[in-house]
Amino acid sequence: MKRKLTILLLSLLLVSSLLITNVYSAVVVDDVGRVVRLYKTPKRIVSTAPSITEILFAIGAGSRVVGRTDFDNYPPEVKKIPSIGGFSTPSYEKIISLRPDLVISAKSFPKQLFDKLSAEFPVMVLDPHSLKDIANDIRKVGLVTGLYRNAQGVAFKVEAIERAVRAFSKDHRDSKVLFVLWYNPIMSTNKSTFIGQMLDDIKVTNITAELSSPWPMVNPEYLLQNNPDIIIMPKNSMAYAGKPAFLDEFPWKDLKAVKNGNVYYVNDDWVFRPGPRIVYGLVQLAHVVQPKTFDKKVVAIGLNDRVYAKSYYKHELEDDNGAVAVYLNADEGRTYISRDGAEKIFGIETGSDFVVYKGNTCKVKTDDSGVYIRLRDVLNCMGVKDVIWNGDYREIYLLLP
Amino acid sequence: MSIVIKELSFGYRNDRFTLKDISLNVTQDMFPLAIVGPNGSGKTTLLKNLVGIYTPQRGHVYIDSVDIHRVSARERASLVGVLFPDKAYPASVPVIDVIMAGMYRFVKPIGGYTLQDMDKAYTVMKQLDIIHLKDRLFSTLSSGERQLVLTAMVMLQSPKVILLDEPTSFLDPYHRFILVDIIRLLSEKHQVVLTSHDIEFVKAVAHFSVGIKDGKIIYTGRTDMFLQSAFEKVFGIPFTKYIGVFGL
Amino acid sequence: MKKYRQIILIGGGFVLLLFTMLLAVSYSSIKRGQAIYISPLLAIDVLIKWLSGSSLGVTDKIAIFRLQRVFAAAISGMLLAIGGTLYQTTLGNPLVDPYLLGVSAGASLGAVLSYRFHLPGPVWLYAFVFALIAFSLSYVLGRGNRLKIVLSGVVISSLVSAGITLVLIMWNDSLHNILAWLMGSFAMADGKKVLLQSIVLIFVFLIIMATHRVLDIMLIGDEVAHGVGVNVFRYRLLYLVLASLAAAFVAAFYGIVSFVGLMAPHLARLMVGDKHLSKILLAMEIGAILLVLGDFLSRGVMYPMEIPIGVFTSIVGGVFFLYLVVRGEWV
Repeated sequence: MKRKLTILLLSLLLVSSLLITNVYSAVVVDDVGRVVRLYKTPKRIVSTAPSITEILFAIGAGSRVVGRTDFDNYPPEVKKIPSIGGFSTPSYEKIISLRPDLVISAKSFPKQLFDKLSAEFPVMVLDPHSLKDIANDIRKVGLVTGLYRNAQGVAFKVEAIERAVRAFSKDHRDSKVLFVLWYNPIMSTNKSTFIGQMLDDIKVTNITAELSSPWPMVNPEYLLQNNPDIIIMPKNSMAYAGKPAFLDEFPWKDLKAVKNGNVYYVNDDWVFRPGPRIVYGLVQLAHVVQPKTFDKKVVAIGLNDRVYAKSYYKHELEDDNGAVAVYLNADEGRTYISRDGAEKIFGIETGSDFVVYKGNTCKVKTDDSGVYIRLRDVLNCMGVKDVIWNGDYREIYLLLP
Repeated sequence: MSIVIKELSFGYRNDRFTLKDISLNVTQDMFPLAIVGPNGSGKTTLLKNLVGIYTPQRGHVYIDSVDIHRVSARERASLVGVLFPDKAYPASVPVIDVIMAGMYRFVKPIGGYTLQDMDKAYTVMKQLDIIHLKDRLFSTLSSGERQLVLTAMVMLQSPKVILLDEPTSFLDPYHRFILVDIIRLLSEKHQVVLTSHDIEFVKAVAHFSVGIKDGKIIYTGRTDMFLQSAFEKVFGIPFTKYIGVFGL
Repeated sequence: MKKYRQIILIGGGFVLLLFTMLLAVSYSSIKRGQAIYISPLLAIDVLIKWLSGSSLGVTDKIAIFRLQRVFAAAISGMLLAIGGTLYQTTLGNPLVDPYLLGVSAGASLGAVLSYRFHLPGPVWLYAFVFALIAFSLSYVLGRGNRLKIVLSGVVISSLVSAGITLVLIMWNDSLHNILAWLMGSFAMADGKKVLLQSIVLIFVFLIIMATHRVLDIMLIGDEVAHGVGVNVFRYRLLYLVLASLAAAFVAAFYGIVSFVGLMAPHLARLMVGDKHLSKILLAMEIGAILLVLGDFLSRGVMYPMEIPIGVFTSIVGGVFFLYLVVRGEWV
């Protein structure tokens, strides 16, 4: 962890020093320890995993993507980009025919192909194992494409939403959760996967957390012994035809969760892909456990220059890239927000000393400059009660109706 | 008792025939009969056609006027039996069980052997002097002993004709010696046909010889005549020269 | 003397099988206290309850679950042992496995297709049908000759495997479920499957016991059998079909469990010789014991995680063959 931070900082230093001398140069250490060097801005990028494509689009490099895999499906524009093949079967010829100046791949890329490609093109390998790693990967992609500011914004969003969800998640350790990857044989997940970590974020007990394999086969007896309160399944692979039939069979039939109707489905792409939308998966999982809380929008706003983030559990895309500066100011222990920012985040109208929310006009205090209005007043006008201040990160988390 | 082979042609592939239009009329007085020829002449292939392992593309084989390719397996087994010395898998079964296999055609499909069957087996074993091998495992026998066991089996089977394929190939002098007597024994109750290129042996046991080369029969007649007139045509060496080196 | 030895071995084998089954039903973990202990009396009690249709509590359901697995493993072991013996005898080759003629490749293809295209109906149905299709192709291709059949089996298996690989790389979901199937597991056992397998087992067993002398004769050799009056062609077809059927009913239901069909007849032969009456009985017991034990270890070594049974059968198989090589005992 510390090592990664140091590497990141050094890379940052290098980039900024080179920016001064006006020569583009990027040096990044990727997730497998390779040093990737670029001497000009990459304009033709090939992505070999759906998560990587999503990262590129999220940071604003979407127009530079010239190649993607068969399985990429988000955002919809990727359909227009030529495909280079499958996950473990990409075509070398197709890749080089696209004349890339940068290839970004996941660790599962076939080795032979990788060796050939890395001899001719700069190749960066991403291999995240936690949501934090995903955020750092976003930063690395930003570094290497010259879009670091954008990438930072997205990365902060991921991290901030994770923290916000953690903050709003009450302790549910007495709730036993089973994540079902497959039903016959029964397969679940342990604590090392993204899902495992997200279950930890929402403070429930994953009954298969301590098993040694990331996707272990589980003895049905264990389910009866451990009787989970909640069952969560990926929708696409398990419930493609409606309610899964296996729930009427042994051992599912006898489980508390099934009898009480506590079986929930999450979006496969959101929980399996190590990209920016992992936070949608997180919020969706959080909603399972605390539906009333996470029915509202989760908003994280950082102090000073930090960008804000917003996430819903049910809509596919309902935030921007967060590349907007919101400007929170702390003055004498009170927090003020810029009028632009308030309009942007809360969707309200502002006047010189008032705000209009759903037809209601409320008076608000402003600071001396008149640019900033007091956050507390705005929230009162909107009836927002759920506010958490995180002193370590100097962030405010809100739940907006 | 007769064997009639009528215009028999057989090939492993349909475009190339190993046996070409073979016709042969074997009468009672011609047994024991030897089919003699060099390697690749088709002796063993002919034998396999005679016992029904192969079915010829053209032609027929009649034993006592019965077309052996047109009857049931059991009935065929009553007409002709065969001894392949090298084609027996060394199974870990007691010798007595191998010998009793000869009784298969007499036994109902679902059923066992009777005491009478066992008696017959003992008789045969005694004749061949192999009673001491009765409980030994077949896999532990020498090749000579195995051949005796297979002989006992065929004797139990009691077909009209017994075919022997190169019976002296794997035998040491002792077993080769007693094989002459065994063939005499077999000839009392069965008609014996053997394939061989063991000239000494053929001379010792075979009454008549059929010379075969390149899938065609070149000579049919008494063995001594064969050796004098057809040996060279079949084997490519003058008989006198052969004797000159090997004696007889 | 020999006879007594055989009776003792077969009788002893049966006792050992019962004991192993009991062990596997009572425990699901090699560590104390992790899984529920089910006493033999309770197991019998539950069985009666289940058969009479009365309602079951949670512990009862676990007992039924284990009973199903244990019986499935035992019967599968017997089916594979019979299949292996029949293959080894009819093909004259002590190193063949009843999956040789395309049964395992076909079953795998059926399962893979079923998962991939979300085909309606149970997975095992497709596995079964494709297994038999692959076998039929192998048989027709290699008819008449023992060697030809073996080669055809290899050819068909390779082609089918290529097909499987093709489908696998074009997978767009996670591969976990199909990989788990391929590695074999008795977790997929249920009462219906056990019943079906039992019927098949009894059917095949009866036919073999009725014709065991034919098998003995066929073992000595095709030519010898033919000479003595056995209709080799028909019996070979019969035995290969029965063996493939038996093997298909295991592969389709539970995935690919390797080596048992190869080892059980071998071990049986080393202990009681080649006569099929005793060899098959003992092989069935050995096969059953191996799989029941294997299933127990699958559940028990890392409870509650399941380790695919193929891991254990492969280890045992490897050791077994090493032993054979070292001892120089091939026959």
